[in-house]
Amino acid sequence: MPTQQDSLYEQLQALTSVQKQHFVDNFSGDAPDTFRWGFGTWVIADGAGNSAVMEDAVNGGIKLESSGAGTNAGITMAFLDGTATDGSDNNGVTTIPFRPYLSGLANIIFTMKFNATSGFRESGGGFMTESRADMAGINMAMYCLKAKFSLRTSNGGGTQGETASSIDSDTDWHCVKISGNVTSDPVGAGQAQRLYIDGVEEVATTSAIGWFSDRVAPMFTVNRTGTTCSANIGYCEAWNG
Amino acid sequence: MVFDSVYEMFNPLTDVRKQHFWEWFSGESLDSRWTQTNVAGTGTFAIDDTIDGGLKITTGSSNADKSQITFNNIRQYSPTGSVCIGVASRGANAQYKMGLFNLLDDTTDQRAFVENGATQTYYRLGTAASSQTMTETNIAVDTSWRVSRIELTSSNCTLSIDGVLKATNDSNDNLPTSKLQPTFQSRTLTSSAVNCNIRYMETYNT
Repeated sequence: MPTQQDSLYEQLQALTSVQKQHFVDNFSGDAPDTFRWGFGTWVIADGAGNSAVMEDAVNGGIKLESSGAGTNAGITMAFLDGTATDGSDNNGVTTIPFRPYLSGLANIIFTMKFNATSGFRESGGGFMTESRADMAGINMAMYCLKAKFSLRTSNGGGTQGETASSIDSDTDWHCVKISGNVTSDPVGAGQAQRLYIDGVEEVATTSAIGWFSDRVAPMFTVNRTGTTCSANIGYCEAWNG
Repeated sequence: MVFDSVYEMFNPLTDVRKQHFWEWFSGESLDSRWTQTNVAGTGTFAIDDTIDGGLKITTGSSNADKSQITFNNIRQYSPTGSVCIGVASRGANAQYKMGLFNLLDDTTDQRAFVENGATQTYYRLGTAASSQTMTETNIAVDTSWRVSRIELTSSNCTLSIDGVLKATNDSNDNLPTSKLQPTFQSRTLTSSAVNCNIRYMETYNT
């Protein structure tokens, strides 16, 4: 067990090593932090009906909800420009303008719950180069709502892979960690992109993973097939390994 | 030995972390997560340009004027399982309340807080659910910086000051039953403006 340290810095690493990019968001406050996060829309160009709000409920975190209008309407949250919480500042496929994390070595921990298990297209959270609610695009490592929660990946050319965990989708809160230790192409021995759910390694994959030296950023999305769909995020922390 | 992540400082990855926030009140202005409200009179809110200053809330200049920071009724903390820690001080003729409130209008309903006012004898623990119970500690009110810790459980509410348990309100003492938000309030007890400062606040569900 680590011992008490003089600083937050030293709780995470010794002063003899230089800390890399790292952030924490507790999603607790009067409104979404639009200094850090921006929002994007999908299908509904003006974002009408999409919303990102702090949920007024115990342990509510931030709630992303898609518009109920328009087939496949969705909303994304990433390090995007703009302040509109309906996503109208960032329509469709947008390269995330601030991507301080290294695709091969980035780590993310977040808590998330889906508010239904049906009515979603691709929805979830993780790292990506682009903000796009269809969870396609390049350099992706995303926790994805499927019949079983899955790790969806893509490489620098956009070729996708998807590996299911052992956990059936549900509406419970889960602690999700996505972690990479990839430093070369082809992937070296013992290297992979890994998905942990509630502390258990569920997926390790080496195929169709992001180009190890490309830049990525946290991205969350909900994307509907039926009526409006939503998910809550209670915590997000990301850092470079 | 260090932690791999901030998450793991407080929870193993096998646990889903509950709502938690901390605020250092250090920067060029108050973080946007807070809503500034003048409950009575017109106060000002500013990061204090002094060593260890934190945030300074200056009240209006009429007796009983009060201003506060809240989460604008985004209430993510439990009345039956939460902790609120704050480091605060006040000036002369001032009173602060620091803790968890349900409402913005300073009614005696649905809240748990520490109170330090110049006209009191001792620091007090307040709990309210339609009516309010105030329990005195044995710590004389003062203008020192002190750390207060309020814990709400399903059976009681405790107040520790500078790490020592000083007051307990139980189920007969109007424990709150509604969801809560962090609140720090500055109030003048005279006919001039006064200051209260806060430099750290942390709240989490247990």
